[in-house]
Amino acid sequence: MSEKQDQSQPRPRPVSPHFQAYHLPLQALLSFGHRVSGVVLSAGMFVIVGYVWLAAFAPENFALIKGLLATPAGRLALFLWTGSFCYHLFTGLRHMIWDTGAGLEPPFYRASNWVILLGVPVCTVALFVLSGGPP
Amino acid sequence: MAEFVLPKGSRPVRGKEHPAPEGVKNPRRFRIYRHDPDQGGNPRIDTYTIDEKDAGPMVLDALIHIKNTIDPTLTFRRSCREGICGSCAMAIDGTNALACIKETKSCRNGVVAVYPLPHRPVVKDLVPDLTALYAQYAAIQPWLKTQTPAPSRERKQPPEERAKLDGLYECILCFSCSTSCPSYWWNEEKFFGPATLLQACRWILDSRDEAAPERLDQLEDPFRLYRCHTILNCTSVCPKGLNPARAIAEIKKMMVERLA
Repeated sequence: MSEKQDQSQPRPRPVSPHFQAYHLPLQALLSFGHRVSGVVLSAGMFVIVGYVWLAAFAPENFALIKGLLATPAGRLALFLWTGSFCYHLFTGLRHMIWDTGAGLEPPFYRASNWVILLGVPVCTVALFVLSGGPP
Repeated sequence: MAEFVLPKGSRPVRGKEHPAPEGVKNPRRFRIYRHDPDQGGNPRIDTYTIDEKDAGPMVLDALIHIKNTIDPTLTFRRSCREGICGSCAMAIDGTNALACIKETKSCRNGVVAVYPLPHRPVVKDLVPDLTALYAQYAAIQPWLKTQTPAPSRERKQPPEERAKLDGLYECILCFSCSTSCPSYWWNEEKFFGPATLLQACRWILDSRDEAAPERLDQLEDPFRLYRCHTILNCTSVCPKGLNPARAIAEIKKMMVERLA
């Protein structure tokens, strides 16, 4: 009985390696980063909304959160959010160009990879310094 | 849903090591994915070292050399050996390519890693099951559909209309692009994938075809078309130098334009 079943049901086939054996090109890694930075920005939005929401109740809350954001951990979080913002902005603008059907040729997307990789750190540091760091 | 690891039974284990022949001058190592459905068990990675001068310049030449002289059980698809049949598409050195036009020398680190096309059920060794991809291709009805009565001779197409098919008709359906797409790895039941969408674009743009609205209706779906997130692996790997990402963008544009 069991032998018959074995014959009627073929052995399950293994799935061939994907992430494990695949060398993702730069533009694919940047695409992955676009999604990660989007998640980080969403998390940051909760903090901003919480900031405004709590401050609406009492001025002391405002000072409390301001103090929290001024700690080294708070500064790091703000810096990462600024970085995510710049990254998402750069890759997002490239996505908008792609949505028009332009810029999908390898020379464009390879060059724009480097515009993003060089532009994002510059933009992040500039924004962070110009805004005076934490509030 | 995104999955980053292989199921337990699919994880390759270390396999046999076939040493270099005596007096080898230009050794070249090949790490090749092996799976024998008759033996079952986990797939394994066998290693073969050959003398580069014994085989031709392409990865397919080396695979045929290994099959002829070292291990006749090594199984792979091949036919034309000149990049037009699409049979020998496989993941070589971390990138989907046609083994027959992929130079052994172009592989990084002196080792040639050869795997079947990614995220497919494996029939044997380097032979993936492509049934689902062929079914999706059939689903877009890749033939001329007309309502108007057939003319007495052929349906004519001016040269400028014919030019619109350049970059689309050359697809050899090797499915290197679809199987390189992370979005396709995770939504292969519902997302049509770059190869099929490029073909869909080819039929929508054909001036002789009269079913473009229905073809667009079929693709107007959160998964079939819109799972494309412009990761661009498709365009990066196409062995014929085609641009599936641009074809998909063209379809998305037509979707918007027909609403206007």
